Amino acid sequence: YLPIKKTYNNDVIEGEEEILQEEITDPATVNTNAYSYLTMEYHIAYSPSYQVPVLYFNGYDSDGNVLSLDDLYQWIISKEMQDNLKYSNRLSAQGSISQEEHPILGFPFYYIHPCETQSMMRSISHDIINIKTWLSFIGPIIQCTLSHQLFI
Amino acid sequence: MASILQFTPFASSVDAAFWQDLANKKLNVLKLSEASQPVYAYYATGHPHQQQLQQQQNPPLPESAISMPTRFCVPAQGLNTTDDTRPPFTFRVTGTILNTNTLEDFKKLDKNSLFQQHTTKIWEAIQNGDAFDCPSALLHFFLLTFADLKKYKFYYWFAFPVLMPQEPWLQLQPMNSIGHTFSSIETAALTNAYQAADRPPFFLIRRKPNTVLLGRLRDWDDYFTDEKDEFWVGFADPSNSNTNPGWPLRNLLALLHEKHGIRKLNILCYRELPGKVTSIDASKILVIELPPSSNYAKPPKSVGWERNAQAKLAPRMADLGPLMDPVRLADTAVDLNLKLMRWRVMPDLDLDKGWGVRHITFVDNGRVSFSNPVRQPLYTFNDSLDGGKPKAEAAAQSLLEIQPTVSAAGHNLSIPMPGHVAISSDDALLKDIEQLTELIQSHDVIYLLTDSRESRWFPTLLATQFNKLVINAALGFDTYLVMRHGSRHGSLGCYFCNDIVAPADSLSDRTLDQQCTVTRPGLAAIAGALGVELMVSVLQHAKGIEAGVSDSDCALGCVPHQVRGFLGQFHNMLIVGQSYANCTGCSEKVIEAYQQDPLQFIKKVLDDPEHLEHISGIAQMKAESDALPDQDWEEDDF
Repeated sequence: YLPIKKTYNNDVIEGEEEILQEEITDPATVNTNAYSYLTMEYHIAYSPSYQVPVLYFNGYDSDGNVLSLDDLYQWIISKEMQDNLKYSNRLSAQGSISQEEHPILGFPFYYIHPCETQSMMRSISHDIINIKTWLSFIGPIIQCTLSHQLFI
Repeated sequence: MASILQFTPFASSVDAAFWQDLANKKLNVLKLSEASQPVYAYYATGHPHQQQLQQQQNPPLPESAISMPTRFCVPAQGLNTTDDTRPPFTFRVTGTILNTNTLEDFKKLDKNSLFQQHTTKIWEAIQNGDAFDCPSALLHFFLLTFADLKKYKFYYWFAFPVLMPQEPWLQLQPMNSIGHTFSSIETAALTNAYQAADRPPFFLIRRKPNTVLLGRLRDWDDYFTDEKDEFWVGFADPSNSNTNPGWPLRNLLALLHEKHGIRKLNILCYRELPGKVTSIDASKILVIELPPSSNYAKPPKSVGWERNAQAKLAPRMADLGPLMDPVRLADTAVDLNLKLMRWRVMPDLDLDKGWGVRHITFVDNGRVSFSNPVRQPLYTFNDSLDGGKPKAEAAAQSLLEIQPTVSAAGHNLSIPMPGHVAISSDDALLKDIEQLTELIQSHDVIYLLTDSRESRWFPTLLATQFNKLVINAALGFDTYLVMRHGSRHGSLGCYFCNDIVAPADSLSDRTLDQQCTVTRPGLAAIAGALGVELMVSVLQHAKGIEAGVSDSDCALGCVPHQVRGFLGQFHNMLIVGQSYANCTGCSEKVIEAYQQDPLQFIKKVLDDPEHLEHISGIAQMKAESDALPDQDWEEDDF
């Protein structure tokens, strides 16, 4: 499987923590402002039952807290997929988001359910499709974008 | 214009799987030991994200908001220091981790002395020259943790000790791009030489006409022999900033000053973007100098505790409960199962109304007997021992074992029933009335599943008063009735609407088999399941409790009033019953009489059920119908 780690900037404000120690003032350290970023982790594994690749993902904030499905819908999942959770009348072309144990790591991961993948891919091309093409269609829903360099 | 050289600190980033590994190790190996363990981490050289992010933001963010923190990553395998699994193009660093047994220990630990211990180690490695052979010792870090294994919360605090001169290093000019000084031929040569030298984190550069040569730190004495060569020191720079170098440079400067007396230096902040064609265009140049009066004291001062995400000197915490806590995982799985149903089969489903009930209260006055568990899945054999646990509590307990996040309660309560005189005092009766009223008022759906007609009367009255949805299930030997009561002012009836006799004592003076309802065992489950699905169908209907039977269906199909089942024929009938203005259970007359004086009304009804017939108007109707046969029927009427 292929893990890819990417990092994004966002402004999520967290609560206070008690300061436990005073340190020497050090003029040689850059003053960093409060920051917040999200780390996304993507894995690709093969689904023997659906016979297509499956995109697994998890998100973490800057402290390492794992993002909930609500968080993911707010920050990561594309607007087109947002309706999926609440009021949709149709599935998106790519499929729905669910959670299960990663087939190799055993950790719970969110994933895009592979039940729609075959029909999505067939609507693109009837030839054998490679991973890059598949990922370029599935990835953007959850901000897993590919560098165009991969296609050169 | 000289200014103080400022370094961008590291921002730690720990893989969730590392915490799980630590938790396992603590549980199985370390147990109560607080001994330090080795740990490894990695960092990569920085590269600019600005352009990519600028394009995504509208309006564009200010420069200061865009620069990504300098990530210092602990991989999942961090505790296996014999391993070296990490992404390609990264640099490995070893450190020490100390995990305390309690949060108190974590807070009270003498952090200063711990920090000093590590600073001393780095200083010694510099003094005795070990740092030349193993320069990554300059980056030895320290990680203080407390793993709360019950709540799956991990408190942690990183320290990256660095030595400080008495007065800080100065930069003699702003940070420049490598292209400012090195030609493209030179950068290409540098890139190749770097790969060929196995990508050292710290290195020496000798700049000759049209080429650059790379050397190791330890070769310093032999390297800069030709005075005419420009000499540079390079380091793999994790910083993403356009103006500041990263943290690893600090201890390198201490080393070079102590061992080679260096006070002025050209620095190459090496930043590469790996790919088909590796580019080091993001690399930066620094020209720096230590003020003449400044030296590293023996021993020097040091700093390096990491600031948290709010830029405060405080520990950080990662809550991995959603990934590791089995109770939370079960909860999420149940919710996701419902959502899957919606997404894949029935997009119009309203998930807030229907399945996925989390709050259930049981009311029963009985105890679990030995014959119950085989027919009633919530009870086990153990519940029937010692006279039997109270049924309501046993059922609630059982639910919690099935799904721990359910809010389940059981109340041992005798429902006041018409024809069964109250044995207890007025106060006790009033208490029962109030408790039942409170329970019905505070819930959304009432299931009437008791074993007699009269026991359903009072709850029916209360539920109608508060217009609550009632699902009523009753069992015969091989027949069942599952129905929903109509709304308070609606046209559909309740369980009692078709009766012209008030509910009365049906239980005393009966034989055993008449008292305990003997039924085909499967019926309980069938009727119960139908009751659940009937409730969901009602709730999914746009009109909810007001849904009529001939209204258009809900997303799930039709919403019948009554389902009467005949197991002998494996046959269901859907029946409609109209509400009756003289009903003993749900009519306005009865409710008003009750509301006037609840206690007295109930007392009277318990004593004399025929009182109900008077209040509801049935007695009068009966009197009128009794008067009919006195009329003459003429032959022509047939």
